[in-house]
Amino acid sequence: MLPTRTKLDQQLTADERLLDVKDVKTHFFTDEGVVKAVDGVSLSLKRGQTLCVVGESGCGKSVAARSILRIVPPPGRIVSGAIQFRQRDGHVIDLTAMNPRGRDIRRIRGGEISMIFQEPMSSLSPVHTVGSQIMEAILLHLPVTKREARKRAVSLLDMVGIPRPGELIDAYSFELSGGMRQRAMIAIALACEPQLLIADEPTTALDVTTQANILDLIRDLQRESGMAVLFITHDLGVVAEIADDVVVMYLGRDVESGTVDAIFHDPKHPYTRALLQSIPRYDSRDSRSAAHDKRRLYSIKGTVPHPFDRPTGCPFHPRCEDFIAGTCDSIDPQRFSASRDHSVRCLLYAETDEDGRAKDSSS
Amino acid sequence: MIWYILRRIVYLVPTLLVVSIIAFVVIQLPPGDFLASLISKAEETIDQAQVDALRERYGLDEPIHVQYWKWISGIITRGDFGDSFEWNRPVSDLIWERLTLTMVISLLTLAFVWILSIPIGIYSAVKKYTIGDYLVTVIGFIGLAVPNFLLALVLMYIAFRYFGQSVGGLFSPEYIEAEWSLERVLDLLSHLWLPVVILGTAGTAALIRVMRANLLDELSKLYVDAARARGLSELRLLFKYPVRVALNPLVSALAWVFPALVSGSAITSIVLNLQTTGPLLYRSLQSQDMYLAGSLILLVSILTIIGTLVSDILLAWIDPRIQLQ
Ligand SMILES: Nc1ncnc2c1ncn2[C@@H]1O[C@H](COP(=O)(O)OP(=O)(O)OP(=O)(O)O)[C@@H](O)[C@H]1O
Ligand SMILES: [Mg+2]
Repeated sequence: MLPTRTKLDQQLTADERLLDVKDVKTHFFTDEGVVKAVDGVSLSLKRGQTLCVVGESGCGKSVAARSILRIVPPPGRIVSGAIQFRQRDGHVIDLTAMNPRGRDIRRIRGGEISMIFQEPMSSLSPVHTVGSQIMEAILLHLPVTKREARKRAVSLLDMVGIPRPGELIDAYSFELSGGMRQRAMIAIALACEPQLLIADEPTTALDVTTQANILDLIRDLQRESGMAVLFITHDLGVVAEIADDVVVMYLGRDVESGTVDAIFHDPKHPYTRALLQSIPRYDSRDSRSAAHDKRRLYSIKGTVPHPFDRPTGCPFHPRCEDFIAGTCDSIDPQRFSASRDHSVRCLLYAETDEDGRAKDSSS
Repeated sequence: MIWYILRRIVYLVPTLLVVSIIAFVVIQLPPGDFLASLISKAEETIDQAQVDALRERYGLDEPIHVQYWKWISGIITRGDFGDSFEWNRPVSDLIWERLTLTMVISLLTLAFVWILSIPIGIYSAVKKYTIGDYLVTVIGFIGLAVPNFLLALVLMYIAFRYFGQSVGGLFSPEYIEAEWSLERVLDLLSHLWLPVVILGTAGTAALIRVMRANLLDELSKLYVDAARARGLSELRLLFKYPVRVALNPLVSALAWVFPALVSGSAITSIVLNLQTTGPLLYRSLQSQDMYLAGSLILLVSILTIIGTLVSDILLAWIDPRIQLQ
């Protein structure tokens, strides 16, 4: 195993918050208008835990993830909110207050928070070797010599299951398959034993077998190192398998968040319910007929609205089964807590709160 | 890498053969053999013995492939390119200095183009849609649009009017026939900037656009974000990844920029009265001085081929993807 840089602070209890994203809004100021890619997202993550972010394509998952690392491409920028992160030394810092080009955020990137991207095919440089990119990450954050960095890079490649790591460290990305490239990306991300790994649909571009292998790999590594994982996906099967907590996003917002049990067994938001109904089930005795039975495959009516054409009120109301005319299209719902650690952003629950009054759980 | 270079050099042989055949065909193009034109042009009559000696030397009574063989083996073994009858001297006497000057001007122009266009292109891409970028774009388009001869005339006027330089040529009058010396080299350098700027302007403008477009393409690639997410600083990031990749097409552009410079310099050289190969080739074609013309075509083609080879090898060296194809 790799030598650990610092033992995880034992005195910090397991349920201490590692990351707290509070009502972050990230907008793109394009010539055609403002794209509110992320428009009020809150989520929090505890040490060593796995949080899954789910939602349809275009709902702002990647932009939210990039906001945390402060690598939102221009013309995008975080317009409000806070992202609190507990550093290894115990200090809590607000990432949104940092200069995105500054030294402080660069120490966090790759050192404390790492990210794996959606497209393994293009996340490695076409003209540099895999090894040089892993060593770069190591040399940026750890006080080691080049020779030690190379040794560490080889053992990292070995750890993520790349065969003949001593040889393939000098391979270029075009000499590797998609699965191997994603493994290499994981090796880079884990090079400095970050506290948090952000995995943005790391398996979407890969075939099913490779997907399963990569997932297993991430889970094993997480178990060994105790890092927290923010896992972005739209595959609810994956969520059920790996998540501790789940955040469901729609049009740049968290519409529901809770433990994986709460979300799967007691979904509150009509959008979450619709999402859950849209997964094909193979648990019936005759799986073939189930797969072919169109009635059991539910899909959400309508399409995601154009970003310039955000609905007023609750952004989901035009597609909602439980739409209340006069309410949902005019009132922007706050977060209501359905139970401890389970919040939902839907007006159906405005009255069902314990005290009978609308309460914002995030405040 | 070694194998790649060797393979490329082996491929060079048939190319050179074809080029030499084309140059030979050019020599043969005018009606009648060249002795006929030599005799018709000669001011005093040439006696029969002389004609026979020449006939023997060029193998004019023999089949065409033997003539080609005599010509090409003369060049390879003895550096004998034949005679120029306009100048009444061996071709090899005429061309070497001009060829060297052409090379010097072309290489300097290339360096000028690159040194200017790469940083400006990078600036323009990184600061896209700012005033600086628009300014570069406008100046670039003007540079592209102004014909070289016009630029030559304007710059000559400026050089003469404000710097008091002798206009035209590569040397001040007192150095034209002088032996090579340090002063002559310095004099040459003080005259060189003019053709270099004139020849390089359009290329610089074009390469700024190429560099800007390439870099903009690369800047939005995921591997750049991935490197940023590792904690690399913006400046190191820029030069290590996207700039590095964006340079590849520029290196391959070497293959066409170089021949364009060598051939494109003819008109500028005529306007500036430069002692390069361009004007010489132009005159030799006008006066049907075929051995001179053919030799020039051959040599310029060979230079071009070598330029292409160099650019290919450079490209293979900086881009590992090339060798595998
Ligand atoms: N550079 C950009 N300029 C303008 N709009 C952008 C930019 N990047 C993203 N967006 C917009 O932000 C919204 C969210 O995009 P994002 O990539 O976060 O979606 P996603 O949830 O990750 O989707 P997917 O599942 O397809 O990856 C989209 O509407 C998109 O058009
Ligand atoms: Mg995405």
